[in-house]
Amino acid sequence: MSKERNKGLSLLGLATAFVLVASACSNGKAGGSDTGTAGTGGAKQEAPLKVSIMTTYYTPEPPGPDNVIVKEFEKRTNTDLDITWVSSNNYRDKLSVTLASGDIPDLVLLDDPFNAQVRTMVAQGAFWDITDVRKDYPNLMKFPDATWNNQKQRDGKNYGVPRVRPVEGGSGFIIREDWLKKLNLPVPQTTEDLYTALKAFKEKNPDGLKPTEVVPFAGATASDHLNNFIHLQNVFTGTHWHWKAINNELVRVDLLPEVREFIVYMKRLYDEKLIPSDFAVLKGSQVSDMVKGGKAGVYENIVENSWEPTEILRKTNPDATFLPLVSLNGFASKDNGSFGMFAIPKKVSEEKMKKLIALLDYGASEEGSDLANYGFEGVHHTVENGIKVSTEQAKKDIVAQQALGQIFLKYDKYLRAWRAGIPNDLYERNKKIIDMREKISVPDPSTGLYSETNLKKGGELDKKIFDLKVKVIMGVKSLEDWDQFVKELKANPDLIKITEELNEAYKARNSKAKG
Amino acid sequence: MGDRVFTATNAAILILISLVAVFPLYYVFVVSFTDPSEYVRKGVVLFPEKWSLDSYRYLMSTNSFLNAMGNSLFLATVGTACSLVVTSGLSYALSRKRLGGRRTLLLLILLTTLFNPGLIPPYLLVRELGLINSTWSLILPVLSSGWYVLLMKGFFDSIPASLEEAARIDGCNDFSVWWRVILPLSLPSLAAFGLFYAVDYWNTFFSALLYINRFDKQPLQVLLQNMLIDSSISGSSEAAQMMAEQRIPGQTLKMAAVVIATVPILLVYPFLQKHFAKGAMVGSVKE
Repeated sequence: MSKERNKGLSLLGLATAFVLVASACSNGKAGGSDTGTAGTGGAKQEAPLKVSIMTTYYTPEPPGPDNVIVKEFEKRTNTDLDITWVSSNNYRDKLSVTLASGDIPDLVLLDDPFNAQVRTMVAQGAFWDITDVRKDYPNLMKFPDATWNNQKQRDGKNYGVPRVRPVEGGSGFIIREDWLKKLNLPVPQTTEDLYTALKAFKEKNPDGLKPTEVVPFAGATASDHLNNFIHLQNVFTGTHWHWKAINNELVRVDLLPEVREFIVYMKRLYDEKLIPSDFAVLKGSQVSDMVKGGKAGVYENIVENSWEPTEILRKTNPDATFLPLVSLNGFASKDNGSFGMFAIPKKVSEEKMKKLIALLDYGASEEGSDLANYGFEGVHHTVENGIKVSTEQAKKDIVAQQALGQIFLKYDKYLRAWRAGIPNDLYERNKKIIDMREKISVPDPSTGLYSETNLKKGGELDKKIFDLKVKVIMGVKSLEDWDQFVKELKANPDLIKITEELNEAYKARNSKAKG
Repeated sequence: MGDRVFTATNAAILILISLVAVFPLYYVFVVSFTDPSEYVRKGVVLFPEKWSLDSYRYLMSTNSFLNAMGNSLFLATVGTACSLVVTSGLSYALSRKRLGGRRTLLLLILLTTLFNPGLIPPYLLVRELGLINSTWSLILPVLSSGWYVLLMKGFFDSIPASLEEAARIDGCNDFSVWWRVILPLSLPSLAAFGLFYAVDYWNTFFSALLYINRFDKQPLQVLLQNMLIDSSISGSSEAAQMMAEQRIPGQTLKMAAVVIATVPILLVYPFLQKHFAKGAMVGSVKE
């Protein structure tokens, strides 16, 4: 009996031994890699400020810890940067786990400062309020007021440093200027002009493409929003995105007759094959392939993007030029001036918080921003006619706005006029377009407004509206169905509640702005 | 006559269905070998005019791809080996009736198959263990699946106790019985479960997303997702524009990457095929 017991015990030992062996050998390995990363920090004379950052990147690879520019940045600011690079594709997932686990880096990029999780955490006091602190930092104060105002949370305070972007030069139409010239067409000013141009591109293609080969207006929808066509809808509604302020009262644009006109217009484009017949399932990269392949006449993008396909097409067709339109029907969109913000968790001391903001302030300075985005002159870029041209070494060392520039970037009104390799004449042209847009552009009146119902039900509602729009455009449903739907939508309790809540927030903000 | 018509229609329908199933694979394969410029020109390629190895050459020349491939191979081999050792050891011990606390252990294991703790607790555990950014964070938390342990235990249950007694008389202790007698006997089930584990490790994705921050430690699936995911999916138009600008690889490159990522695990299948049917049946029949 006791012998049996003994055997039993030894078996139990066997079972646990496996678990122990496995974990022991793994701990050894993990320890090894830990010391590896600690070693790169190195010993310096003064104690550099340790800063952990989490951010996103758009280069094929993120800069490594011993990237020359990161090292130089550390040297100039006396910091020890520990940057967690997360691919933009997975940023949301990673961010929500990081926030939920409570293990928040010193500087964390909140790419959407208004999502539910961030709002809750802000309300709980998880991040530093920097509304008053920022005034001491000259470079941050150069950010446009719109940028700061659009990021204010529900209580009217700023809880992070904006990842600043220009307010002008955002989404708009980009058209083949050389085609217009060859067909003796004026640059479109209205949606009817645009239609005429699209029709002409298809029927009398100046590059000799067959009507079936041309994609007069290349665009795609995403799975749950209009994506490339939202700007066209904006042109019709005269507002940016879903809400329009009419007599100081926010109204969902889909209830307006303008959206119906937009659908009718889109349906005409669709029926006459002026947009891809598979626009509802196309991918963004396929649209970009059409544009770069010289098949597209018009597409939607930011101003600077006009250079990329131009550069490619000019290799075979020296005349090819893409021209960003200033406006259509007198409308241009104004962006909210930022792409998320860097927040600082409350567990960081006040003293360190100020140092972190100083670091971002340096990054927003001429010197810091140039270093992060362009690297060393002569190595990573050369200056030609006052324009910085990146070299091959810059690609090798991953020096780009798409990498470290995601953290450190100064405010530049003409950021969206310039792209690597752009000739001076086009750069100046783009700058003029941005200046002209500035005079007329219209912002999204609902930016940053809080509506709890919208957080819960808004997405579902948006998707429903979007689905029906696409169906009507494709002729699966009729316009009468749309009219019926709008009637129901007007009585939809969720939408009524969202509208009420948004209007309340809208008025509160407006009165604060005046006072 | 009716029979032949039936057989013919049957065959035709089945061939059609299999074509539909095979076509995406074929398309991926062909596009990966198509000259990139031809693909851009035509859009859809069924029979390329010009075959080209450019995409493969490019992929093989990039550090990141080879690196991620290496990480995934490490995961699939080392991870599978570790998992098999732990799973077979644990389930063998559990299959022996003289093991003390056997019922409790079994119950605990069963619990893990029924309840999922969610995302945050494992993340915190991995972080507290200091495994963030370590390849082991992708192996240790999934070292052994409760379900596989129970299945394998069923297999060991069917090995007669007299065999073990005989080995013991010849001087084996518990460990050497397991190692020298039991394991060689259970090769089919090892092969089957090895394949299960290998596929799981090869497909490691979400945990890598959460636990691995360093680019050089990413497994292949994460890299693939970064390469393949379309910019239109990310809601922000700025993100989309940046992706489009930033040398996101062309379609042919993506397809080549898919082919390379699929082939190794496809290659494993035929070699384990013969064990597979036998192994997967394990424990499914009660005597």
